[in-house]
Amino acid sequence: MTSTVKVQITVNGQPTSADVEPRLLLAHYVRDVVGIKATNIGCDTTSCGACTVLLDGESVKSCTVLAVQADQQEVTTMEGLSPSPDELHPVAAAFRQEHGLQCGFCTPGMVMATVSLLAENPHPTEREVRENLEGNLCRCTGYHNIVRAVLAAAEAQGGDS
Amino acid sequence: MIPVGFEYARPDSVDAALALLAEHGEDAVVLAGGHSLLPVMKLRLAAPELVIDIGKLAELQYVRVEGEEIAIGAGTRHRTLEASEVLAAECPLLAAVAHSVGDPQVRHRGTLGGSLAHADPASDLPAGVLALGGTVVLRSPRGERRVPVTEFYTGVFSTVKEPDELVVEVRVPRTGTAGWAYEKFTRRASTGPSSRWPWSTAGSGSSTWGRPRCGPGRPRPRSRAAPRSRRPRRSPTGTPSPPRTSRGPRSTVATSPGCSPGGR
Amino acid sequence: MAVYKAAGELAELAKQRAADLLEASVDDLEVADGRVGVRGTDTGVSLADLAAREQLKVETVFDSGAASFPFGAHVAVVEVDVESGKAVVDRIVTVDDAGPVLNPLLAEGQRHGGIAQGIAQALFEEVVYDEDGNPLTATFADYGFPSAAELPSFTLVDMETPTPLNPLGAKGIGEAGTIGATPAVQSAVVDAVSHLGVRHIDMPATPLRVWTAIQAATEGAK
Repeated sequence: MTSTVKVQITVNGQPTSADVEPRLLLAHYVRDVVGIKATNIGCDTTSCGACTVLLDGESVKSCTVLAVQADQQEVTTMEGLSPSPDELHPVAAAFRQEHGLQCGFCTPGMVMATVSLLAENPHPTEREVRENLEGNLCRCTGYHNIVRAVLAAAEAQGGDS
Repeated sequence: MIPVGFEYARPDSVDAALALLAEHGEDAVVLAGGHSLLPVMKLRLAAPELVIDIGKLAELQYVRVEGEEIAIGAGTRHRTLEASEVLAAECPLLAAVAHSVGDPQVRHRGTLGGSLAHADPASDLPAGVLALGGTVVLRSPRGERRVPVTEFYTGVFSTVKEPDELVVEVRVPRTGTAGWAYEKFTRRASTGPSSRWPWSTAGSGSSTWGRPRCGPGRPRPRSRAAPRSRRPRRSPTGTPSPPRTSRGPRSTVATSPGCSPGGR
Repeated sequence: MAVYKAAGELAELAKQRAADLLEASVDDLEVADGRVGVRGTDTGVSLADLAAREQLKVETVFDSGAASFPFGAHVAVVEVDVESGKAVVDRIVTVDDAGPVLNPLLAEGQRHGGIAQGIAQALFEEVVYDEDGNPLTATFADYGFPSAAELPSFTLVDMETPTPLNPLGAKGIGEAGTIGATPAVQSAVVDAVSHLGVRHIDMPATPLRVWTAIQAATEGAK
């Protein structure tokens, strides 16, 4: 039995703290310790991006980050994006408007990756969108409407960034 | 997938990390971004007793000009390299190579030192630093040594780094506006064994800094299905040169202005 | 189709029940907004009230008698790097005729996903085993799954030809993309290197296979 380590991680603006095994992955911390389930675990091999969350504002695959690595940092998940179901974050709203999802499993990861992309590049070209979503796999949509949604979100966010 | 249990240490300085490495030797591994280490730990191909996390050490995160070289802290993340104004002006090849690594999520975590030390022949940054003729700075309680990157690799996934040594810095020459080209045939690892092209290559347009290079290890097929009969093209100097393309896949080619893909 | 037929029969049943209740002629009744009412008047009864008196229930079977034929055409523009063997889909234009479409948004989504899978089958996806039968493509780290970066946007052309085999004229859309895109892309790859003497490449047309086919064809020509 290995010793546990105390971590303090701010999740969606709320301070959280727990004694965790060092091997606990951030994805499991969010889902099982904090208990919020939007973050999906897909491939578990850093390929599919379903588990993408923001760590201090940058997209990361939470299946390949240890919870202890996120100690003293801020994590944002899909739950933390929109103030309410009636008041969706522009990226979430654009995915709905453009039908950028079908089964929905990849969606939280896609949305978080998009939020990070638009923070770094507020006005991406279609090519840039495609290359920057390379770490997020989708089996349903062929990415067509996802790319439309990201471009629509960029337009909706306008010059805010 | 869950790694085998391990002890975790997050030293607050490089010296503290080196002391831990010296104490635990081969039972310990160094964790920086974790995007090479954690996947193999999750697959239980690695089961270290102690993980030494240097990912938050600010003293390993910098990009600065020092004389005719650029000194880059080993803990500098790919995303930082990609967006670095210093590299854009002084060594754009390295910024472009960093941009071509994996995907944004990987680039937000992965580090230059980690990538070089991991010595995966299919990874981008070793090829880039090899092409530039860079230097790897290794430190241990015994002192510091500078190893030319051409002597750093001893084969696939193996380097001259001793168990008590840490890659603390990578130095590359200031190439300024010299021409360069970088090209690879697979952006992602997941295009299947039978479609994985065996080389990732980088070249600097001038022989001042280096020649076109492949990654660590000898250039050879990475999978059984790869072509056995294919021999690397030889340049007049006998150095394997990158396979040329009439027009490479657009997303995988980066060149300086006026320098066409494949160096033509 | 069975739902459509059953709904019609259920409306007829509701009208018969309402005719008795309202003492009206079945011919004067209409079903709208959850009510059965006498046309041109306010007189009527809700379906809920009718069902509360006696369960409104029909059972029906629809048999089209024959298979309908959704059809379409896919055209792919593919660029092949003859020195590395890598093929890139530049453009894909598809017509998929599913008959009258109830929900165009969902139908287009089905087509998009199908096209992507079709392209992927032609260029990337393959389950590979080693000589001992161990799977080499057991995770997405090894299996060739396309990302957005490997695919273009798709051009969809609409066409609606109703089938006479059912009252809605509807056919199907689910598999349309996968059926057309695969041969379109694969044939485009072979066509792109046919001037070098290549006549066939096994799927998926990975860089290795394309490169090998080109080498074999050009060596044979020497």
